[in-house]
Amino acid sequence: MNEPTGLAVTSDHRDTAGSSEEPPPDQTLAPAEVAGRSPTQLAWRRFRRDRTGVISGAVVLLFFLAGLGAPVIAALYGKDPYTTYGQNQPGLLNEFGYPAKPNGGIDGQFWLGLEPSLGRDVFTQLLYGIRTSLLISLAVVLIITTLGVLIGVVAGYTGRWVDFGVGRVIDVVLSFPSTLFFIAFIPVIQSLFVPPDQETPTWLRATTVILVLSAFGWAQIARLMRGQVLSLREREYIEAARIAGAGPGRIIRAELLPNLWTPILVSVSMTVPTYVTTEAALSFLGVGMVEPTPDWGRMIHRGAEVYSADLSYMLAPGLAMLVFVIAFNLLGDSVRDALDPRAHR
Amino acid sequence: MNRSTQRWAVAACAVVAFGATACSSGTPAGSTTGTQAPAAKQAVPIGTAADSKGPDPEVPGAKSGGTVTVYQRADFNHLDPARLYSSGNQTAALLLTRQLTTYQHVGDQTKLVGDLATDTGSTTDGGKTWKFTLKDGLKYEDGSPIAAGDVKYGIERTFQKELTGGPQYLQMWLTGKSDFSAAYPGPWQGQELDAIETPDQKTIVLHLTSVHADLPYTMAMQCYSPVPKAKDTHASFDQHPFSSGPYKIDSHDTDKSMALSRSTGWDAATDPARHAYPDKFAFSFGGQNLDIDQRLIAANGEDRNAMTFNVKVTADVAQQVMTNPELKARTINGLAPFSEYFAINNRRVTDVKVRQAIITAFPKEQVRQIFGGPLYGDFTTTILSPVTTGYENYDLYKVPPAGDPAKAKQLLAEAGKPNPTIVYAYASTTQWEQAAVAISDALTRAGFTVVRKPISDKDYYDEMGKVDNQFDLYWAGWGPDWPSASTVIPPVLDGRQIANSSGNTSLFDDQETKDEIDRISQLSDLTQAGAQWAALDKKIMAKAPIVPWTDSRQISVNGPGLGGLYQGFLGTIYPTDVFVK
Repeated sequence: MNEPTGLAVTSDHRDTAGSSEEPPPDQTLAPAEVAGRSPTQLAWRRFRRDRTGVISGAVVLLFFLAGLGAPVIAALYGKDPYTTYGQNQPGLLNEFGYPAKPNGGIDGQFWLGLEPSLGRDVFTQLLYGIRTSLLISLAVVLIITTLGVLIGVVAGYTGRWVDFGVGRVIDVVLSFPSTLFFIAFIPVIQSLFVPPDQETPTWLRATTVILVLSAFGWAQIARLMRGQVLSLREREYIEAARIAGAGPGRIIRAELLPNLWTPILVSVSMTVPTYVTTEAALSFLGVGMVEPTPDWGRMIHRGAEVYSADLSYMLAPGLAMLVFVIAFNLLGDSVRDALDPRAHR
Repeated sequence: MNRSTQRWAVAACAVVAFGATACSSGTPAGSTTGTQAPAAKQAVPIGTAADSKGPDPEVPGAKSGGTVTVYQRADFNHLDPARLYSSGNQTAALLLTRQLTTYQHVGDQTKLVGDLATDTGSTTDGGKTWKFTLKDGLKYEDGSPIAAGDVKYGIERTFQKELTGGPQYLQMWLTGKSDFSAAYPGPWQGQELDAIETPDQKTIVLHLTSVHADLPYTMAMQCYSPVPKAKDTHASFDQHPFSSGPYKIDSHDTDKSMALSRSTGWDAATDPARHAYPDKFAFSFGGQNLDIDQRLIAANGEDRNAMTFNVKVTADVAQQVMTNPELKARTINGLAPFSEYFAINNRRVTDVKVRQAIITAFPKEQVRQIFGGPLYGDFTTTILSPVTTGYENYDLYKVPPAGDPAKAKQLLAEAGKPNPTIVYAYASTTQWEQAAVAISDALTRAGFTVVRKPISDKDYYDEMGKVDNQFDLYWAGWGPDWPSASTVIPPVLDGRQIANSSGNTSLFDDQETKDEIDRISQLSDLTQAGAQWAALDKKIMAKAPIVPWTDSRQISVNGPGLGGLYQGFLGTIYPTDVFVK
């Protein structure tokens, strides 16, 4: 056997091992390669070969499953995040309000231990907290991506005064001290809608947080899109489409957007972890979700207050957040590498 | 009577005494047995002229010299005597001011004695006119003598509108008006107050407009300290007061540090309550409570001789401090004169059965656990705290500290309102948010519909202090200014005191209570008055205006190199007997 054949065999072998769901017969593999693959297929192939990407993808998927399936998992596990077990059953917490057992009260009954003072179950708190954070940040990312793409593409393609106007608005939004704004305005906005003798409903809190975060988030992606469109609209194929009589709507939809999917996907995969941490930070600062809605960021905040007496309580949400953000960022890198091989690390 | 909301936050003002038993054991959770003797006793007895003479009896093992470091979270925001009304400031003023009367602490006994005066004051007409005579040899920090006119000028300064934030008892008693500044504007424009007479350099006569038998206690408040007219620097006096006490200010770098050294004029022979063993005090301001706790626990270098007036052991290190014998030995753990309760808005919750149901269902124990458990305070079922004269321990409702939802349900059924809505307002801090979960759980179990209203931490006192607030239940606290119920029940439960940000946060307005307050206030026998106040306490609780929660504790660590520390009337750790070992 000579060398080229040997190489071919190994590469074939790797391919079949990678895609277990559709094992193609060895004979058809070579013709299929010759037949060519769509860019999506190529990107998928590249992604599958990136081990870091696959592992971090699996981790992220696990977080999504855990968060979205929190009620199911909690039902199987037999606890909920609202019952104050430690206060209802004497003996679980000591006289100082900390779990009586070592390691934050971790045992067969409470897998990640008990929360100090109130004595709620940490495992279900964490699952529901992840769910709250993920749902809020996904909603924000959906809104800002839609809005940002729309505004960016229109500004970039129309040019002239529209571009100028939008550009200045983006400048202002980006230079705004957004964190200060959140702290000052979220309570004000909420109090506008709720009479003083009624509780602020949870959905209203969530909606305000989503809207306020979106109000500042779209600018970044809009600027990115505008830049992309500016360079694309001078390309020959756009010119050709225009000469052929295509309207701006068709050009944006059929010619520009397909070429923008890569930066959009990359930006989405990078902003989701950002907004998970931002939402956590808002709860940390006291303007996000309040008790009794379980929240990831608030757990970390509380953990930071009690860490010297009960380190375990900080470790569970802290490590989970760390793993999630790292995995999602690595996944984002891998997605970018897979979609845009020229921009290789 | 007092509208200083700041005071509730900082914890209370003057006065309390505890014998060793009150200090160390505390009330066991849910104890309903009245251990107090039925006959009312003086919490702080009035001492004789011999007790007032000075010097203060020696502290065993004490010696002079050395420097004591004091860690405080924040600088003293006021040192001008006329503006002293929070326990931290008042504790610092123990070193810098003297009053006509003061509290002497010997062993476990606390007595009211004459400080500048030869005794605690005398009256010939049952408590309307009071006469004080100054001792010989009293001097300021520069060696100039303390004269009767200076005491008068010091009291006159408290009328000055610019000097806000101080107590107002004596001003109201001297003029008979709650708007006393209108009757006399203060001394800065040259006017004098005729109600105070100084026939000679040693005699002061106070002419009150009504009988106040507890005036000797009032005169121990540091705001009524002597100030020489020539040394009154008006606004800047707050930063650098002229000292009549055992120490003087060498330097004061606002919000950073302050250094005190011995006053040359002060003579131990004239002072029955202060020792001034250390040569210097070095104050260091700033840092979180936890940082200060950790420095005091570690006790490295200078921190061996360090203390704090009012930084409590935080919940984070509480377990460590209370379980380590070495640390526990240098911890002072005592009841502060500060009672915390949950005010029921009596204008909104008008049905007494519903209010009783709130008291019955309330989860005192669950909420206390969030704030650190037994270290935070002792459960109480009374309005008055053990530090007041005549205090009687009783439990009218006999509910366990964890609450009794079944009994509360029954009360609601009797009221014909099985599911009343209760708006619970709280400051949006982590701990209060968690407490809201516990409170809402417990009240819901009894049948209430609970609406939770978080209020931003800094607006909390303003919002809940509004007369037309839209809340039904909210936390509040109060501390007596001297060991008498006359500084608790009238400001907290007299319907005539209702105003924005007043002490009557429960908006309780009851005719019988008002009549009783007027009657008892006129009694000239303090012991008898104490017993009557305690009886009124019981009568008021039957109407369920508040949910009594805890009598606060202060637990503080101090460096191993210090001796002679004790918890004084203000609830803080006192520097008057401290010495470097």
